[in-house]
Order: sequence, then structure tokens, then C-alpha cells
Amino acid sequence: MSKRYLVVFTQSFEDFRLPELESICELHQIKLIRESYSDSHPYCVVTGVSDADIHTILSRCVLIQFVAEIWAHCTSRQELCGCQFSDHAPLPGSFNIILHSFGRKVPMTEKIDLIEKMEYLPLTGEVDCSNPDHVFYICENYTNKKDEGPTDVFFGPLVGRSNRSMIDSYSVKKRLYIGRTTMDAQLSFVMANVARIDRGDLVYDPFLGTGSLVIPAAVFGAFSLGSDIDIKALHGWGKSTKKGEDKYQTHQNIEGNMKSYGLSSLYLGSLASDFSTPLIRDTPLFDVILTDPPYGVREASLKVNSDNHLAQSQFSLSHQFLELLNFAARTLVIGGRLVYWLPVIRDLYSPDCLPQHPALSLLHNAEQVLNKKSARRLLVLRKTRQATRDDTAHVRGDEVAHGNFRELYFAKSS
Amino acid sequence: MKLLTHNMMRSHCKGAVNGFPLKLNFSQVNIKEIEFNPDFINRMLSRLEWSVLVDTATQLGVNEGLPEMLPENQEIDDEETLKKIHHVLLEVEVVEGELECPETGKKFPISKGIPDMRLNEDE
Repeated sequence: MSKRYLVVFTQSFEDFRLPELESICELHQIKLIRESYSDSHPYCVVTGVSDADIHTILSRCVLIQFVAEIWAHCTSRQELCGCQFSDHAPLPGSFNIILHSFGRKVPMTEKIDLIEKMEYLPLTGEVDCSNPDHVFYICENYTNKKDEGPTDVFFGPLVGRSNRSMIDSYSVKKRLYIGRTTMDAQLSFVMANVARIDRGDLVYDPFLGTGSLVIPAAVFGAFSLGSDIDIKALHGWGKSTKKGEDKYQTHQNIEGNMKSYGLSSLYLGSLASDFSTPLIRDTPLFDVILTDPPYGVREASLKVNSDNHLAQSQFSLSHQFLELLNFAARTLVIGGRLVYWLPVIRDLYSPDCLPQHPALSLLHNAEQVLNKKSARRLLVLRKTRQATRDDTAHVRGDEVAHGNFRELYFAKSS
Repeated sequence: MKLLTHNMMRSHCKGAVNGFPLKLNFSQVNIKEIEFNPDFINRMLSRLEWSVLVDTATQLGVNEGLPEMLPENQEIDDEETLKKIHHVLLEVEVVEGELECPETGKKFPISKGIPDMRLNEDE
């Protein structure tokens, strides 16, 4: 019988957790079966995979905290206490048992009490908190906050922790060169994962800015190049946006960042260019186009209604997003992916608002809420065939949902 | 600007049909050591305009050992040859110079390795 594992996600960016996990599984041909999942808590039961598969997943997914093998899945503490663990031979060696809970903070005394009440522990050695041979987890789910206690109690050995700590090494706070548009490190890694970036891929960012997206691409072994209309951002000219810094120094630019991370070999450089007239040959070149376009939109006309008040303005989707899809359809290899952020006004959003292209198929659509009114969606599209002359990007429904996004987005406190 | 990048670029001046390849004038070239990834080099072969790469490499005097033509299947097994291609594609950088549209003659400066391809309204 296949092992069952408990994947413990972080409780943030909930919409992105499954797309990230599924993308990494697809990239490595891992046939993971999800038995249970909810956006409202971090615990996800999976099967159909091996320990080696779990380690592969942990090496990439940044929205996972850790994975434990499930030796018991109970609906109450009493049930856990009565478990005989007949399927598992007791483990010799030192051990530590950690209690992880969600929806309630469990005091240490309760944890110790619970372990003492367990009729049978499949562990024969001594407790060692600092350097144990085995780390075991008890995970308690209090999402429903029943007075009787947790709705799920899991018990089992830790298989591994994710590489989330690498986010800290690439933290924007510590980075040499950042600007106003620099993407948060965690999100940039999520983007690279849903893009299924693999070692040896060629990645292009047409809105390169300060190069925040080439970093996770390079960490995963892909080569990147990019372009931007802002030549100052490419060179690292001008006034630093970091507190206490004056002008950018000579080492403060995209190359400087890559060098500081030991990733120079994977950065192919940049070009200053207006994306509305792209300067790339119209032929399949890139495995991935990974980008965070500017959120400006083109104003259409304002309407005046019968009361002589200005009615809700009708704004149209920026030509830029349609051009991005056309560009991707021409310059991606078949099977290549376009990953980009699209701003939306939440009340007005429906899937019909999304730009579409006959040669690109939508794989994922994940929302990050920015404030009450607005959000951005991370869209992942795959090129399924060569584009013909007649193929062109379009929006099926109303374009109103994209609104006066720039104002709303930059009004939020970061 | 690396030669891999140059091979993917074209100009978009008004009136330019192809805009490829961009003519290269150079005043400063650097050689930078880049980690060799043979799979990546092989993957790129079918995406390149090979004759343009050979011409540009010749112009820069770095074409030694570069095959004149690619085999039918556009794959190369010989590691020495792949290393030479790797050198030409990734390790040669044009730091100062200019690119020129082959059809309109419009010049685009390359400064500190970054080509400035921006056009004015009327171009």
C-alpha cells in the first residue's frame, strides 16, 4: 500500500499553493494524488508518491513548510492516544516530537500531557531536543474550533522541510540593487515554479525592471535575458530607493545582484526597448516568458449619465497585455509557458476578462488580493501550437474589470 | 551584449521588413568566463540563425573552431565543438559599439553592454 503524507503549507498566498505544487509535480513527472485540501488551513493529505518525490517537491516549492509521513490520522486526541501503530516497527534512536497546530496555539504543557497519555509510542530511544535521530510531528487542525478539540490529529515522522530558507538569502531587504517595482522574493520564486522553469531553459522578461525575476530563474538553473524601456533601471542609474542610500553605486545594478548571488553565468544581459515594438525575431526562441508588466491602462471616454453625473468610467484593457500574448505566441517554443500578472477590479472580474490567444492554453489563474477593490492575477499559459497569421490575442467579454488600476495599486501601503 | 542575444534581435524601424541581422560595429569587446552547460548549447542550436552567428563571430575574430554549417539534425555530440560554440555564444561580450538596421541604416548605440533600441516617434 502506498504511503500517505501530510503536506503542511504556509498559510499565505493560498491561491498559489496548488498551482505551485502541481507545476513542480508536472515538471518532474510526479504522479501525486491529493486526498484532501482546503484553502482555509495548511494540511493536505497526499499519496501516490515516494520519499524521493517528496524531497524533489521540497527542493522547489516555497509555499510548503514541511512534509511528514502519516502514521496515524485521527479525528480526536483520544483516538491518537489509543493508536497501536501495528503497521510500523518501533524506531530505536533518540527522538523529538514537535506539535504543530493551526487555528489554536497549543501550550507546551498540553503537548507533553498528550504524549504521556499515548498508550503506545513507536519510539524506543531517549528524547533529544537538540540533535535527535528522528523528528516526529503531531499536527492538530483547529479550523472548525469545536469545543471538543481538533478535527484532525496527524502523527508521523518528518520527511523533510522545504527550501523556504532560500527566500531569506534572496530577500529584497538584503539585495544590493532594488527599485520601486522590485518583486517580493517569495512571490518571484512562486512565479518561477508555476512557470515550470527547469535547468537549461531560456527565459525572457520583456519588462525586466531591476531584474527581480531573473534571480529565481537562475537559482533553478535557467538562463535569462530581458528588456525594458527604462534604460536607467537596466544600468542602475539614478537615485536609490533604499532608505539611507543616495545614488546607486557602480556595483548596484542587475549584474551586481547576479554577481553577489554567484549567478552571473546565467544572466545573459538586457536591451533597452519599448515593448510596443518588440525587437525579437518572430520565431520560437524562449522556453519561458516570465514577467510583471506595468499596470497602466489606456483611458477610453468618460460617460455622463442622465443626472449629469460622471458615471463609472469605461476603461479598456491595455493594448500591452494583448501584445504580450501575441508576442508569446510567436516567440515561445511549443510547450513553452507565459507567466504574467494581470491587474483586476475584484467586483468586475470574471474569467471572460482574461486576454486569450488561440495558440495559448490557460493552465493556472491565481489571485493575490491587494486591497478591497483590486487584485492581481498570476496567469500561466502554455503554447500548444504555432500561431498562424490569423491568430490574434483578444478578450472575450468586457474589458471594464481592469479599471484605473495604476491609481488603486500605488495607493495601497506596501 | 552577447552574440546569442544579437542572434535573436532585429530592428523595428518604420519601413524595415525583416530588420535582421543587425550590423555590428564594435569598439570594445570583453571575454567573460561563463559556466559551460552542454545541454543548453545543444538546445539553442536549432533556434539560432547559424550563418549569422558565423559571420558575426568572424567579424569579431572569434570564429576559430566554429563549424561553417550545422548537421541535419542540428545536434552536436563533440564536447570540444560545443565548448567553442559556448565560447562564441556566451563568453564574448560587446561592451561598446553600435548596431545598425540593415534596411534603414538607423544606428543603435551599445553602452556598457546594453544596446539602446528605443526609437523616436517618427522612426
